[in-house]
Amino acid sequence: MSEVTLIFIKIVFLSVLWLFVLMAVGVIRTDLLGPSPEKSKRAKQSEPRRSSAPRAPRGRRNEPRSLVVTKGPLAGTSLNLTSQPIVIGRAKDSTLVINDDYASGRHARIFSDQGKWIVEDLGSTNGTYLGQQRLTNPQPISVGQPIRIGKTVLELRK
Amino acid sequence: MNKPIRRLAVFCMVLFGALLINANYLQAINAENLREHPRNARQTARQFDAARGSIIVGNEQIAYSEPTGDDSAYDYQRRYKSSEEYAHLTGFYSLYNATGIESAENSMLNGSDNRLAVSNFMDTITGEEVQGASVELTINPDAQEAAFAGLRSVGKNGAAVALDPSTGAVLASASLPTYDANPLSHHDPSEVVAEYERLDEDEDKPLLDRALNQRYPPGSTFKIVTAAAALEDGATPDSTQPAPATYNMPAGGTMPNASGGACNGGDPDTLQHSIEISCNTSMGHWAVELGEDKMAQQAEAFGLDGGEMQIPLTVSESSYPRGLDDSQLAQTGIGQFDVAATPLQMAMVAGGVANGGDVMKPYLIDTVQSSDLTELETANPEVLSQAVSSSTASDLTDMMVEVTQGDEGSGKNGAISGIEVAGKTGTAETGEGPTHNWFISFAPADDPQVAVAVVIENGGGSGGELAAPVAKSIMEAVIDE
Amino acid sequence: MNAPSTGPATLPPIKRRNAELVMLLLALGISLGAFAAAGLALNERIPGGMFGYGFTFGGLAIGVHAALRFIAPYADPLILPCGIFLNGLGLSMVWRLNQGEEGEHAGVGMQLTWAAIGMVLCLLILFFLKEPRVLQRYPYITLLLAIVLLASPMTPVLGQEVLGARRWIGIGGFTLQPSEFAKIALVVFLSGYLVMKRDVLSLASKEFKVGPFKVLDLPRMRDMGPMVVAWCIAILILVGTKDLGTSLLMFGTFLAMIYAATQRSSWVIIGIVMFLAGATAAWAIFWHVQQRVTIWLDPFNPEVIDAVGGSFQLVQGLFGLAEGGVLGTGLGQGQPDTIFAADSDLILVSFGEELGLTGLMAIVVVIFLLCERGLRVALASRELFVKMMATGIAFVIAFQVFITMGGVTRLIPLTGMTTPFLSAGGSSLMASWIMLGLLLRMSDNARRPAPQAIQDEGMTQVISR
Repeated sequence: MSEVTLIFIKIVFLSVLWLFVLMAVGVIRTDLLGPSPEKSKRAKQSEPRRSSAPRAPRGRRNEPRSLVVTKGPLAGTSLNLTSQPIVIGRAKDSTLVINDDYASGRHARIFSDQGKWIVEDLGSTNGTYLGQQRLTNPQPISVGQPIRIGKTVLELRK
Repeated sequence: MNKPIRRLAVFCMVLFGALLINANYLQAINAENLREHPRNARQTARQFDAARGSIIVGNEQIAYSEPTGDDSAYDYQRRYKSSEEYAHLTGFYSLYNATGIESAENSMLNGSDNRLAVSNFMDTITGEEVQGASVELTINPDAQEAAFAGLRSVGKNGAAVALDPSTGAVLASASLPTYDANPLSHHDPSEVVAEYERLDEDEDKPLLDRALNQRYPPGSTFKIVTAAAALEDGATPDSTQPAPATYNMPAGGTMPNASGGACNGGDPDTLQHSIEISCNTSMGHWAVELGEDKMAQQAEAFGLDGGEMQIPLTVSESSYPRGLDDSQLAQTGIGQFDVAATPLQMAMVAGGVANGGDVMKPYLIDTVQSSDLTELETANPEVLSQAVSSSTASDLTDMMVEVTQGDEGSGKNGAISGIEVAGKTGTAETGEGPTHNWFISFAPADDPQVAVAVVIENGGGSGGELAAPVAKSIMEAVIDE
Repeated sequence: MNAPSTGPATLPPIKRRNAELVMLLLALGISLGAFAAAGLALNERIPGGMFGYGFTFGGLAIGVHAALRFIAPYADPLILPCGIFLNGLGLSMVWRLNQGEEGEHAGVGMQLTWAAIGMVLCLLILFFLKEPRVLQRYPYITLLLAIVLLASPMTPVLGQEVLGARRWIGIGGFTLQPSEFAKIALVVFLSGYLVMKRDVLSLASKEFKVGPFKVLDLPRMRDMGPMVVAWCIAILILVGTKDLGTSLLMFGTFLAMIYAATQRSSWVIIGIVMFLAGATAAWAIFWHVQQRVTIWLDPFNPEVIDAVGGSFQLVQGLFGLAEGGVLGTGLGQGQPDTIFAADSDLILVSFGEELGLTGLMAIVVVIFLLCERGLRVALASRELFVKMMATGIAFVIAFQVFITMGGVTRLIPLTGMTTPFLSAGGSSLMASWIMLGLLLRMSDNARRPAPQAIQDEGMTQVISR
């Protein structure tokens, strides 16, 4: 095997290695940007980026200011919403302590994520309900939507 | 949870970035240093598969690579011709390390030097085997042979160096005992190790190049430096100093003459006569009168205390002591106390006088040629320093000629019939063991072609008796050409 | 983002299986090319067994790809090709390094078998683990499994000490490196556990301020339990098995995951401080730790090179990398086989020598892309548990490569550890394929469009914080 051939093989091989890298980067790019405008929207769905423009005004329009207890022992209580998450439960260090036999120690959590408010069940025994639906995953909530924990019902107000 | 995940992604990117930067540093920026690291056996081993350039003396390859048979571990075997006479110069090229020229000129011999890049590339394209450049030494093979023959006939350890005084080219460089580089370049690692250990543990230190790397007290040969300092200070060859049989030195202690008697019947002796007969007491007085600064300056002007030199083999630094009391100063005047000089340094002293006062920078490599015979490097003689003025040099020459020709000359054994030889003997006390015996000389005195320094280690005789004949045969070998 | 608001729900889903196939074929071509190039340089011919290996390995790879089309059609299209790319190059290098010893195919046959078993494991995961969240159910059993695996090399009968580290157990003639599997169990456990406990762990008791600036939110003292336990385990591994690499990998993964779960940098800082304190104490007490540090700081000192268990291996590796330079010696033309553990712990050095900086960087970039895809899966997943698991797996791969490559390039102290997918060794390869299977499954779930009914209720919203 002559020296030149071996050098040639080496250079070709290294080029192909980088071809693989470049193609892989190409695949990622298509994944991110999409080959066509239609697909790109689709692709963005799997690439959660929270800064997309059209949502911002909607978020501001529906900006809730407080969390209000509408039913249950604490009915009428209102909490101002800040950027801090609100933990609801019987535990003493919860943000909103509710004395309810059906509530767990750390029952649920309500938090803001870039202008959206989201409720998440923290593995409670009796569940957290958004409307009639028992929460399995964190869910965004909108103003006026009732959240039920045991006998307590809460909702966001503007 | 996405924000911390994004941050982790950035963190991973930083980790990989650090890996890539470090890989770039190792494989691109610092790769050359690592490749030439002395412990990098891989480099050495790989080069046993390549046609390494030769080392040439005269018109003969004294080190060359020979293709091996198929059953050998590597494609080439390094061989050395007349290795015992050249081993200290060529060094050896083993699986583990390289020494001598093999090491100093490695990038030329193995062809990795940038100046060879084009020729290598062309060889690769045309399918020819890449070959290293060959290195031609300045050594005169006759002089080298004469040096070894002379030293061997004395039968002691010792060294001899011959220079071309007008250029600094090293014409001979011999050191005894010596060794054979062939077994050390063998492909069998265990043999190499066994041989190396044997040589390394030998009490006579055959691996040591005494010519360049062993420092001896120069003894009376250093009187040339003392005399040079005196002449430069305004003295003439006829200036005198007291020359009793024994000098009671200013800070205590005594300095006797080698002969046991006074140098000039008890009267002050001239500089000229003191050098001819190698008078200790008067030269001790000269050193004290001149003082430490002038002595040191003159020593430096001849190249002592100038640091290590690369010729390109490394030459140890010769040194003149400092912070002396007057007794010690007197002793340095005759090359004793802590004066230490390599044989090459003393050859440079002789060469400086021979060359009208200019000491030339010694060098070993004449030319470097690529495999297509393009000259890549040619020696370019340089003046190292102006040791003395030309008139001082001429005075010193006259005095040194008397050493070999004068009635009472101490170095008559160095004389060559029909040619004026300038020389100086030396017999250095060693503190313990027999004396070292020196002779430095150059010839012909009116048109110097060669400057020589010979030292017989613990010869126990006198310089004129043991060292001068060796110097004579070397000078004859050069002049006869 | 709400699907109905961005366009009609009838958009064609992006499967991108064809892109995967193209990449896969390229990766296979590269593997075979590596075999051929090494064979040509070493023996002047294409290796005889190459086509056999090519068919086996390629067949398996295409089998996994075909299975993906049916059982995980939305899986990320790059994960599998990256795995095959790395595994294939690893196989070729293992083959090339074992040339000249005991026949032409010593070593590589075993490695191919492990790769096959790994790919089958990967397929089994894809088939049977439709919902990765089931792994969340038994966190403490998973933890027990991880601890048993980690502790097994320390037991007197099973454990085997090789060259100063107890990383192996011997079962019926085979040696296994249980820490390779333990790291997966650990990631699964941490995912479940941290999702459960993240609220408690995110609570801050007090702010730590320097002047007016908040530097840290310190966690409550009583929540320090998990951190202390993780730290103890890491130190026990370090002391018990003398395996600095595994200790560092496990603890690093723990920190990364607790950070992902709580978003509190204070945990990371506390963890690093505790680990450094522990490691310093270990350095002061244990000679083998001191030696590792000496080797790292002063590898070229002749005494350190020649010491028993000294820096000889590291220095040889560095010389190998330098020998490779920018373009490498070419496959089969260097001498990586002269270095100890060239096909396992130091396989990246072997690549660095023969493929040069250019090839080594390509390999490292591919590993990075694989990890990056793993983190994308985490970002795109809807379930917290899955997010955590994908993060954990991606980070384990990335960090393990950092530890191995950082070690051989003297960025950090060298510790014995395999490189995922590349190194010879059954445990490492099987564990790598299990992780790949989990990533593929999770990415399929994450990228699959949600069913219409739930979509109407806004369930496709991707929750991200």
